[in-house]
Amino acid sequence: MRLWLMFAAVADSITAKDKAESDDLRNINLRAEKALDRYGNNILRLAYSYLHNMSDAEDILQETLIRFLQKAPNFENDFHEKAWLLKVTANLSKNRISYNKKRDYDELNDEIVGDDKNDDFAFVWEAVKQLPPTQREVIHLFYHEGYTSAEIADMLSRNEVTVRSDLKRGRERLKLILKEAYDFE
Amino acid sequence: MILSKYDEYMEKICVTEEMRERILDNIGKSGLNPRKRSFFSRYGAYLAVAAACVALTIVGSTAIPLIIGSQPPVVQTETTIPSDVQAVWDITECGSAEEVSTILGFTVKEPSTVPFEYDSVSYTAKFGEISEIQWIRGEVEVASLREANTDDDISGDYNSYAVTDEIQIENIIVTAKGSSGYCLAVWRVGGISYAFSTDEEISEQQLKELIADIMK
Repeated sequence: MRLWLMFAAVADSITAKDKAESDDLRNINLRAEKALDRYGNNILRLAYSYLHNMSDAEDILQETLIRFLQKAPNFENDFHEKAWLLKVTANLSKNRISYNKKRDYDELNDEIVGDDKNDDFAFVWEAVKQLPPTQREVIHLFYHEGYTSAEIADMLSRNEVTVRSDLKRGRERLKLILKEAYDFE
Repeated sequence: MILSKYDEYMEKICVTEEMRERILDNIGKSGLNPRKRSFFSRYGAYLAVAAACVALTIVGSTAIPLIIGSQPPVVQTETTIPSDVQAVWDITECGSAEEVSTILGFTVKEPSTVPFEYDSVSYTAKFGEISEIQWIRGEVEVASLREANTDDDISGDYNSYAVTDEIQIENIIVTAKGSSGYCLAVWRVGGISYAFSTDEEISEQQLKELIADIMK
């Protein structure tokens, strides 16, 4: 009789473990969905700004989320969470550039620009693409994501003075490239 | 403005429903799911108990008292990944500090003068909890003041600075950071956290006057 009780206890233990696994799976799925819904566009855009390629950008987005779920970090607030994700995105994107040298691959995405391919978007995008990656990343994070130079420096593990310098040089370079078509200031 | 064109282009880059499903599906297949247990690890306990039954039958009833004295195994559930809290990700541009105050539910303070040049000021309510006033020169933010009803450091500046001082301004203790001057100051009064940052360092006297002006 006691043996059967033991058998039942072991069965309960396995059921409890199965439930814990089920909870884990549910929480992982929930966390992946939330991160994707809240920061997916930000991650995708930053990756695209490095790689100029939707397929690669999507890969980076997926890999960033996997890293996020693997580490399961706890953040003090949303700023930290988003900054952590963008930092990982930047690092993974730079690694991807190094490995596949797709920096010059892919141009404007037809699905994104639609009928505007031959005018403003193409012109602007080509200009931005001509910037060195270090200037492009700070331009994106400063103007598109709205981070301060200090936040960008922290995110990219760079000196703030260098970030400011890249920001200034990037703007000047864009101004130079586009001066004939736009009133930059 | 050319960077608005860049923004416009970037805004078109979005996670589509198909992409979302594809990514979530791939994540599900990525091995992140709870560890798959082998047949033995999953059913080993059953087998062990069954083997024990057989052994006991063979050995005879004299072995039973030994087993009766043992305790059932303690059930240990695995640690689950904590689910995070859904937060509202919204940024509202406002026309004044008063407008931000109405949205956030506390009085947003702002200085009457600042020790630097600027072209425009923007007022923003972020995530339903943080006020941000930005002073802008050209297109570049030259300084910002964040305020929130929280104990957290809301500066978003986690750099190490050569100088970190505690400065008393009336009854307020301000942590000021910088190198030759100060470019970051954080303080807390009446349950509200404040963080002022500037791209151009200012002197201690300027910082004192600024914070006294903000808190007046």
